[in-house]
Amino acid sequence: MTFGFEQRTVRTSIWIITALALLVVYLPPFYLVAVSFNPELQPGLPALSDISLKWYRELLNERGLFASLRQSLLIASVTTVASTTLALCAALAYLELGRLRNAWFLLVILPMFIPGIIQGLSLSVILNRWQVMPFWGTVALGHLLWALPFAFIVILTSMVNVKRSYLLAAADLGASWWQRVTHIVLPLIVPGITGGFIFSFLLSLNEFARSSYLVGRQNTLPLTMFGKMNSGTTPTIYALSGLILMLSIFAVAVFMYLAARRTRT
Amino acid sequence: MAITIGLQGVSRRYGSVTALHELDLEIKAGEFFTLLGSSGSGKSTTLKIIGGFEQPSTGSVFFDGQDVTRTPANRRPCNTVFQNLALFPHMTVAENVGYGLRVQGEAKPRRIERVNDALSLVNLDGYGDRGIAMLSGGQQQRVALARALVMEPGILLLDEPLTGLDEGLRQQMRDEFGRLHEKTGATFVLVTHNQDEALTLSDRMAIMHDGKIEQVGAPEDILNTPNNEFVARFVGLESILVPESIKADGKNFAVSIAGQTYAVPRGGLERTPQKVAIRSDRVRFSETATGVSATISYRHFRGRHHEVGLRLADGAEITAEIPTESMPDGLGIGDEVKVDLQAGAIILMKN
Repeated sequence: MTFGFEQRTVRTSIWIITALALLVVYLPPFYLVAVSFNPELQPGLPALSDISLKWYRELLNERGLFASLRQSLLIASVTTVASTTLALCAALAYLELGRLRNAWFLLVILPMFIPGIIQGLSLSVILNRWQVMPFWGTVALGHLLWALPFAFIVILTSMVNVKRSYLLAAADLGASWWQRVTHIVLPLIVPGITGGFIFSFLLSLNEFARSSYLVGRQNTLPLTMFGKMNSGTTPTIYALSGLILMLSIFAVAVFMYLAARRTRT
Repeated sequence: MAITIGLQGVSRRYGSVTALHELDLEIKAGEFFTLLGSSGSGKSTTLKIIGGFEQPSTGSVFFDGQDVTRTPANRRPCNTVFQNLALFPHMTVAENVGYGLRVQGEAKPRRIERVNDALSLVNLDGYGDRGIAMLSGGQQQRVALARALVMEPGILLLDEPLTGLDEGLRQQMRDEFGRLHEKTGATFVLVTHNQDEALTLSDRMAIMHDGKIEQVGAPEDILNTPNNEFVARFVGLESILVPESIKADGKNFAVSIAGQTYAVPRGGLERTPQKVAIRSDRVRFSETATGVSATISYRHFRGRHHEVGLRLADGAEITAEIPTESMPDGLGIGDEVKVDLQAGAIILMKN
């Protein structure tokens, strides 16, 4: 392809701006990862010769952090299963709806636009009124509100693979509604369901605002980390942040790989 | 096996739009029946109502005399080959073909056997393990056919299945339909906008227009006595004219066109028709000085024949298809010629 002089300028500018934006987005977290390998108490980039896993070793002794990590993993797992299941139902409902589709779509994704503070506060007020003691389940409920719209959108996106004619053909061959869903729809939206799982899990794991209102006696990981930062930080926090970041990137990479493989076949 | 289809007073409205007007139709068991019409004529809606994918707004659908109007698609004894085929992309050829049997709960060994039989019926032996995306258009077409036929349906619905295939493949698949119809003995209902398909395949056909049936009959009957101008044009009789006079004359009608009188057999017509259609393949340049005087208004080379536009002495325009080998040299636009209307050239229309 040959482009004219002006078009090439435009293209180059777009590339440069994109690169700058990515730099702004990725520099701070990677800086943090680098800092986590610095054995000094003061945060800063380590010299190459100083790189050490000291704080990662220290991390193993932080019982409080591990307790909150376990709590966060429990909440994230429950949230993931609940939000993906509900999002799947919502997406199937979307498939059935005719003219009300757009209204339904907006209704389901609306919680995405409600600030977390407000969601957390309102939920805690209601639960308080119903005399539900806060525990991991209340946090999971808050996270469900947060994760559901994302899982819904991801699953809905993969629903484009499900053509109406496939469902007609399956019905024509005698399949009931349930058989159409399990034989045709589900296999075709596997990437969306995987995506729903991963997004829900990560969103729940990192959630702060809703958790702070709904948490019981055992803090979640982000809350514990926030507390540690305020009460004089130890560099183990950097190690933990680095760990979470790397795991997140790994999870997203796995998802992208699965999705790409899916579209190829 | 084969099932009779009855439609009684079936209509379909979408909001204020009426897609079908009070349709009555009887399709005999084992018949190859075609619904021919342009887009928006209601032919596809009719097929969907037979298949159970659409509910009629009024009226009833009968299979072998039994009312199936409220029976959902998955419990009707008919199967469909869809226009876009709708093969399941995540299944192999064999899984696609065996899907209906799987849903029925057919045991695996028997299922494999029947799938293989169906695949060999459509000449796709050994293709079972292939993915759908690896097949050519014609092969996909056959898989869709096999998927429907393996169910041994009493009724096979074909929704414009040949659209989008190239000409060679069309002919081939068309012959395939004919062969499979004979072999399975099921009632075949084909929806198409292609008159050649309809004329070659059908035992009977219905020509639809604006949600109504214009004419039902065997292809020869429709070709020989179209009900009206619309039907005539739809089956390829483009040249329509009002003769100077038509008079009943015993078993014939005496039709006068531009000063020449032709005797045309009545063919069961009671009333004297107003208009006639001219079959363009039965018009020839006269060898002698007799015949209808005409002026050539255009000529196009079409390969095996020349399409020649003729303005008759009385002003009517007709088209003639002259075989390339008998096209006289040196005829040009504006030239005066004499043409013969051969036997069968004049088609009487009921209305």
